Amino acid sequence: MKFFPGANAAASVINATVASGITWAIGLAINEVAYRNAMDSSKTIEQLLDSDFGSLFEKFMEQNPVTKNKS
Amino acid sequence: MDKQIPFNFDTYDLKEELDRLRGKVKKPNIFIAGATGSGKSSVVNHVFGRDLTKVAAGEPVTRGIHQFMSDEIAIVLYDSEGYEIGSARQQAYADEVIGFVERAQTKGAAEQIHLVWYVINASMKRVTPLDRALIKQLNEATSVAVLLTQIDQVDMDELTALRQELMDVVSEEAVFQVSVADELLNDPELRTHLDWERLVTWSVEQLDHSLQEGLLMEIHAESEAILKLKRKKANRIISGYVASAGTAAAVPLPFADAIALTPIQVTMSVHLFRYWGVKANDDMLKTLIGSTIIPQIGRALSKTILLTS
Repeated sequence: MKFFPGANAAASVINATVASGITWAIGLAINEVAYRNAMDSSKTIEQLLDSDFGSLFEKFMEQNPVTKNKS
Repeated sequence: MDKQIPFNFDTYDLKEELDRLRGKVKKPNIFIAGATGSGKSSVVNHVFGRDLTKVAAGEPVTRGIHQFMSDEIAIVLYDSEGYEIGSARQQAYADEVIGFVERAQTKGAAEQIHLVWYVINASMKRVTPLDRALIKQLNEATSVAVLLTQIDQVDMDELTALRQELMDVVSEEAVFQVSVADELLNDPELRTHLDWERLVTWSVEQLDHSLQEGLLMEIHAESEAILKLKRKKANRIISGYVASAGTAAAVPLPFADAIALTPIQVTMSVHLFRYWGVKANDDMLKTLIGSTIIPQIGRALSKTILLTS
């Protein structure tokens, strides 16, 4: 990549964009799990993280137009 | 070039991170005013779900006004001793309150009074001239919500008359009808006459963005509307970490970003758990993040990579 001027800059932008998207999806998924926990106290936060976090994270990754095809 | 140290979850000092987060949250200063017996304590207990004046040590900041603050509370509460309606102390009370608030507004942003909840007992069926004068003066200095308490003790006409008495000193949307009577709180139809949710929403919106988090952390979210507001406002917390993650990852070296990103994402997770008041001790939070969240992210990402490649 060193031989292509601007390649490093482009890689930085892609890296930063993907990292932002993943962080955004983690944040939204935790936020949603905590919201569900507050709405319905019959499930503990550990149970909700076990059952819901993974699918929520995937969902928010899918919804993010930047990360859905780049991760 | 500095050698980057890989993130080690076992040595990650969660306690230090939590202490740092606690220090970072800007606390809104909320002043509770009103006559003796107006229901100030009931309002505080209902909105925050606990008696904050018992959780925090009260320090007198001036005659008749106590400041309640603690590392465990994300707001600072100022409580005034109140006055007996008709007593000689009424005017002295008004002078103390307005003097205190006006002095605070000349100080730095962190010391200003960001919000006043002025409590009037609706069952007294009147707004005194002192209430009106004080509300008007306070309203010129900061945001003032007028809370008409014990509305279960008055009929609709009396309530309308009270609201009309306040019309020229405070805007209509800043007047709130409240009660902690179970017969109103537990009846879906009667509950529609209560403005608890509107009070919370209005109060949050009066605050600068940097102060909203503190108030939302302390609010006892008893309804879906407040929980939704809390969920929506959490986006601002997430945005801050997203920006840090973007900056940390703008290094075109393989895996360098992963080293820098994990602490950001772990800290964000802790921050969000604290924001939502998740009842978990520090070790439990660490376990939750380390053994539940991180592996699930790994699985989801590898699944996404397999599907898109």
